[in-house]
Amino acid sequence: MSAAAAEAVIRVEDLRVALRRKRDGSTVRAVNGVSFAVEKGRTLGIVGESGCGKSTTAMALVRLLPKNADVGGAVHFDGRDLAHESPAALRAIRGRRIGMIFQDPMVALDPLFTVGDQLAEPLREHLDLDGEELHARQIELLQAVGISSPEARLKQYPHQMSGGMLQRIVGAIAISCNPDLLIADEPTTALDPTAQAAYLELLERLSDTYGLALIVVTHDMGVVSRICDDVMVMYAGQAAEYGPVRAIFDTPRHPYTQALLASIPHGVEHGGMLPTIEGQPPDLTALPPGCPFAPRCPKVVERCVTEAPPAVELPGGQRAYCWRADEA
Amino acid sequence: MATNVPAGEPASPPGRPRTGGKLRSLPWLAIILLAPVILCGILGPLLYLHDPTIIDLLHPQRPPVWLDGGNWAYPLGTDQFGRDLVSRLIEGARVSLIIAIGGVMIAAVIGITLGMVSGYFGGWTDSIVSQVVDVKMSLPANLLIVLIGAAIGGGLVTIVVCIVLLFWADYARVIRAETLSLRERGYVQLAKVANASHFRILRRHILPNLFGTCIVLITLQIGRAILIEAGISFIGLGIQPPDTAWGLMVYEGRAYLATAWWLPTFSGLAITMTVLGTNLFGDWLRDVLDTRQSSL
Amino acid sequence: MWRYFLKRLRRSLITLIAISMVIFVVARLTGDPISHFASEDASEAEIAQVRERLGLDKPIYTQYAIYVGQALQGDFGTSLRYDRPAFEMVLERLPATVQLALTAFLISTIFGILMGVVAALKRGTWIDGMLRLVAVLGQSAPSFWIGILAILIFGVHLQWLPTSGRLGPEYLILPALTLALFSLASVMRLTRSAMLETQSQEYVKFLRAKGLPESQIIWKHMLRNALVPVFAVLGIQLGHLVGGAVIIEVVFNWPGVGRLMIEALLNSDLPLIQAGVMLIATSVVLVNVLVDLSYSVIDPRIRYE
Repeated sequence: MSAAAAEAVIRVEDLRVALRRKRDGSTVRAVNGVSFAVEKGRTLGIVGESGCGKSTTAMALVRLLPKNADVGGAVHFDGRDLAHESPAALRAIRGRRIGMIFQDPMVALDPLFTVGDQLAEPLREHLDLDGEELHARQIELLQAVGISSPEARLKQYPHQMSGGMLQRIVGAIAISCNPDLLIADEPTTALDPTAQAAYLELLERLSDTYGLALIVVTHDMGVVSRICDDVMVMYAGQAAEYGPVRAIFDTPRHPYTQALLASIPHGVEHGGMLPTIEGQPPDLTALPPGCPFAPRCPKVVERCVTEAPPAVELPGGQRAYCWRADEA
Repeated sequence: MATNVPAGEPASPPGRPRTGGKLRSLPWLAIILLAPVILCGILGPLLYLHDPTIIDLLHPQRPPVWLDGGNWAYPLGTDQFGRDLVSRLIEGARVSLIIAIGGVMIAAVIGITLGMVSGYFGGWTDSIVSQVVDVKMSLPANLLIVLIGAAIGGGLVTIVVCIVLLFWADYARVIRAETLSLRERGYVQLAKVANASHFRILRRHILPNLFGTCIVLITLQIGRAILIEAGISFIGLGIQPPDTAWGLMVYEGRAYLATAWWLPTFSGLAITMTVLGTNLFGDWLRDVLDTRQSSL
Repeated sequence: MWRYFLKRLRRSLITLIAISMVIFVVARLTGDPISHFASEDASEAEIAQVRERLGLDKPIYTQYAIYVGQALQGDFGTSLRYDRPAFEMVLERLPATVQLALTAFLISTIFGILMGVVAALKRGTWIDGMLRLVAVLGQSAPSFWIGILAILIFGVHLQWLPTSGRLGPEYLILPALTLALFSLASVMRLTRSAMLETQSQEYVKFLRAKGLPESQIIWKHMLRNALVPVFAVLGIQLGHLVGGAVIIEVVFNWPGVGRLMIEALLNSDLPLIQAGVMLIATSVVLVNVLVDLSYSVIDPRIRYE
């Protein structure tokens, strides 16, 4: 199992996130026992429909969650358990050891401050850089993310730049303090198609050059196949299938993964309808006792409804959470 | 067996949860503050303890009942002419409410009409209305009042004119903006395609959608109008004695601050409670109506 | 930047012209100006002569032009009661009004913003509740009544502060605080809601992802963003304050332009009223331009408009 090797930069065990709703006292179980690991230089894709808990999972790693969120399980990073660290310790890790890239670059930066100022903040805070040194590092970072005439860009405000360029700036901020781990939450969703391709290339290059562990949250299987080494497919706050991208794309074992892959258009076939998945994801405030996908699953059996599915380890490091994963 | 499985129960979408349902708690503080005032306004003379105009020079500045020399016949005491303060406050409530509501209504009709017309038609009508609104906004209210006072003197008409001139622009501005966005809605465009007259579109398709905004605005403005009325009466341009209004009572009572503090205090308190009530009620209305609008 | 500035300047100019027109119309509305200048038993010829001297025989737009020309030179005629140039009298009183209004402006802006930030940070606690109650009360009570209560409590009973006149800095305290209250309440409510709005912005989450200290996020980023809508209404607040000063000056016997105008109103001293209104309106409009400029300092998006 490649993903669980000893060299993991981050190892997550049985991560749970519950959001207490004040209004009606109910609890949204956004993430329910997710485990994975990412090694140095490797890229993990977390993929699923909107509302499946993939972003919450990513944010939970550094506890960037609403105040009403409870985090359970363990997040092993740098010999510590981030799920139980103090807010101050987490703050020292965020931006320093773990960089983050958000979905919409147009709103990720404060509109009232220059790009240079916002790039300088983590450098001052975490690395105590100042003066010439700080400036040199700013320029170096902008060049690293492929921004031309960095000198001029530093003095500009976010509203003067395009989305693609802003996302590069966000990337520069994220890697500014040489982090060990980079978490990118839907990094290309808000970009136009040409900028998307270029940005994926950039992420790949950064991960290679700096030996970063990279987690990419996405709803797009194309992104996964393009840059990820491993993938975790999520459904209703749980992992459905996890393992190397090649293995999972070639032999998906979980019916949900199969359905997801089947819904991707291949090549230039004309006239055919893409298969869709009937029904809707379950209500996260009242999850069924068995497999959450059971109500929509074409291969459902009695047991799926009553008992939670086991983690079935398959050859090639693949792991599927399904009662029928062993069936070919 | 697929047949045994409860087929995909349409789960509730993970959107916003409903906030407390439709029966939100009512704005009780506002109701408690406003109910007596409205009662005084409607029943008026029926509630008088004494005729508020009867002068009793033998017992001027009688203190409220809980002070030495107080008397249950005059619970809040009497003024410099021996008139019963409670009865005068009731009379003042009536005058203040009528002026505030009347003035605000006239301003609303003018402002809403202008706002709808300028938002709907645009063009030069819009530029003129917007320009005048701009000018009005940058002229301090009290300067306008002084000018109007200089032009037409004091009295009831002055107050109403001031309220109308001060308030119409708020309606025009807000309603114009709302009309602009309503104009682009599908059903308005459809009505245009169906050759409905402008008047019909404005009346049937635009006006009803402005209802919530207008109600909230009118409520909040009534509070402000009471303050304006009080201010005008206070500088001597409002209701003239022997008639009375709350602002005038504060003004008159001010001269007796050292000997009869209750005179300005209670009339000002009446103003404050009424305005507080309308403000709270307006805020509540805004929340309730906005919620409904956003969930539609 | 320049386009924005010119746009505001043009708006100010139009406002001033409109105000001068209103004043002109009011002056003509208040009866035949002849009656101020000719005695009642003047002959037809004498009246015609005065008419000509005052330019009243000319068409109305010419009269307006003459009026504007005179106003620009500070000539609003002579006070009917004091027989002194009206503009001169108003100008003498201006410093007192400016002092009162600016002090109140500083109080309401600084404390309004601070209290708004505190209320937003302590949202839902009793501190927030208290501050909001103060704000809604401040917007509901007539300023002159607050002033009278202040006189009653701090002047008559406690005898801590003087309540009438302008003989030293301590005389400024009660009138300035009273005047500031309403604006303070508005600024506080606006700051509070703007801060709350800012809290849920994506860039605040990104700042946290950068590992910045919470104090830096609040006081550098959130506060500055919350100040954008607050600064947008500061000009209007200043107008409220200058207008409100008219009444506060009466309450506290403050020798400013406002009290002078109210007295002139009771004496039907029209030239004095005209001069006062025009001077105050002009000051408000000019200060508004400055406030708008400060707005562009805080929000770079306007600088590049």
